[in-house]
Parts: sequence; C-alpha cells; structure tokens
Amino acid sequence: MATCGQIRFSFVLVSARISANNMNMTLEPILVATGDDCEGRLVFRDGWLVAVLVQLSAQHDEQEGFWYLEKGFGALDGPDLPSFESLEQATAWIADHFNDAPPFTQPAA
Amino acid sequence: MLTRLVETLARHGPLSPEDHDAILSLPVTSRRFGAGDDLIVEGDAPSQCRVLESGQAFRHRTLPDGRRQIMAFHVPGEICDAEGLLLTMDHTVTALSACEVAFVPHVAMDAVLDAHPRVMRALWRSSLVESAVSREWMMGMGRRTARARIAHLFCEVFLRMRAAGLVENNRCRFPATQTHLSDALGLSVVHTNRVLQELRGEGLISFRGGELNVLNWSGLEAAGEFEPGYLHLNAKHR
Repeated sequence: MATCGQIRFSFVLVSARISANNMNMTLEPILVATGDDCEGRLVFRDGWLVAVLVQLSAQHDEQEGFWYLEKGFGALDGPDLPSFESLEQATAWIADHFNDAPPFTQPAA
Repeated sequence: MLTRLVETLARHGPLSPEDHDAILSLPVTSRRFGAGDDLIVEGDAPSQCRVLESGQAFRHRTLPDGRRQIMAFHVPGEICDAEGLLLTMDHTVTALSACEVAFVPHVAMDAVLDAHPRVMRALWRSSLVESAVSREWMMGMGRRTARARIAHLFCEVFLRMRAAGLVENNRCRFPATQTHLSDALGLSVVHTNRVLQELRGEGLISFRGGELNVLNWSGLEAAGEFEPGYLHLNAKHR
C-alpha cells in the first residue's frame, strides 16, 4: 500500500491499451517519487518503455491535472518536457515522435 | 548619470578623481525600456554602449524552434553590451524589468579608455569576472541538481544586487518568472516550480511579486553549494 496525496494505491495495476498511429501503446499506473506529482504512468510502445508521465498536483496552479512528461527515452530524450491536458493527448504526442522510427529490436547477443 | 557605472568600475580597480570625472563627463542619452523590450539584438553592430542605470536585464539566444537559453542577468551599473565595443552582438539583451539605460557613444568611451588606463583595466577586470560567472553557470548546468542550480542563482543575484547597494532587509528586486528561471537553468517550468515550492517550504526564501527575500542565507548557500569566490567581490585588485 502506498499513498499519493489523498489517494491510496494498492497496486492492483490496471494497464490501459491505446492504439495511436498504428502503434500499440500501453499505460501502466505507478507512483513516482517526485513529491506531490506522484501519480504516474509508464508508457510502453510495443512493450518498450518510452516515457514516464506524471499528473501535476495543485502546486502547479492552472496546470493542475495536466500530464507532464517526467522522462522520455529514445526519440523523447532531451530537455523538451511538455505537459498535456489529457492522457490521450500525451499518448498521441508520444506516438507521433516514434511515427517514423522503425520497430525497436534487441541487440544481437 | 553614470554614477552607478563609476561605482561598478571602482569595485574592479582603484580609480583616481580624474578617472571619475572622465566617466561622469561622458556624453549620455537616456532611454527607458519596458519589461520584455530588447536593449540590443543579436547581429547588431552597435555604435554606443548601453549602461543599465536602473532595472534588470538578461542576455539570451534562441534556437530556430523557439527554445531559449538565458546566459546572464545584469544588475544596475553594468554595461550590458561591453563586447559591442569590439564585436558584433552574438546574442540579444532584453529588459527583465522596466529599465533606464544610458547610451554612451563608442567614440567617447574609446577616448576615455585610451586616456585612462585604470578605467580600461577596471573594464577588463569586470569582463573577466563576467567570464568567471559564465564558467560557474556552466558548472551548474552540467553538474548541479535542479535544486542547487536555483538556490545558486538566487545566492548570486542576491550578492550582486547587494554589491550594487540594492538589497534592503535581505530583500532585492528580481522580477524573473518561472519561465525565465527555467530558461536560465536548463530546466522545465514544472521542475522549477517544484524546487521553488521546496525552497519556500524549507523557509529559505520567499519569491513573489518580483522580489527575492532571503530568509535563511546559510541554508540557501548550502542548498546551492554556493562559494562566492568566482564573483571576486572582495578580492584585492591586482
């Protein structure tokens, strides 16, 4: 059991599958150790972790409830860390960045 | 006019009464700028120096897609475009607050610098200190945490404002928005906001209404891993 603000998480993880730009995106709820902005999602593209999103708390005033790109991997790695009004918008933006990227492959052993 | 410039240069080297008079006799035209107005723009080849008489300004460059990096903040008494004496501007200087700016023709400034080697040396030293500040920013950007970067910047601004005689009761003007801080320190606005809340919550600062109030200097110094040596504020003139 863990606590994020008023919410208690029992870690019955409910993953959501979203199809965006013909990619199979999966969102997995997690807690992120960022202080108040602790409710997060691991974002997977075809099973590969590509981003960590967190929902912004009341300390961000007019951006409360927005989803912030806490960390991006691969094509999303860099200093540009935007916020989105909804998870759908965030997921679409993330998928868009991998639009032209070939499917991920594991390095040869 | 230019009393503040004399004070600034005198902090960088001993000036004689004749040096003071020469600076104070420079021809000056004064202009006011609103917050957000550009004082000088990348690509300009100025024929005058811009001396900040009041208010604050910042140096910055923007990438083609709009990402901006702020490289320095200026306090009153400083020349915002000293490199313009010898170089084409490779970045822009913008008013952070409403500013009063004294314009001094390069021809007149060059004549004073030629005739008054102590003034030249003081200007040279101030330029070296600006480079030292840039190195410290690079150190922070490359190696310090977000918390240390923000605390460090507050320490720096506070000490420079104090040196300019503009701190009262541990308060000084610093009308930077969270976007300015983020662009200066290579952080997202969200991350900057988190750290500001943290520093406030720990009782180190208050930062609102364009004013920085340092509530716990030693705590802020520790948070910023701040060592003021690079500002060379108290160093003997060599």
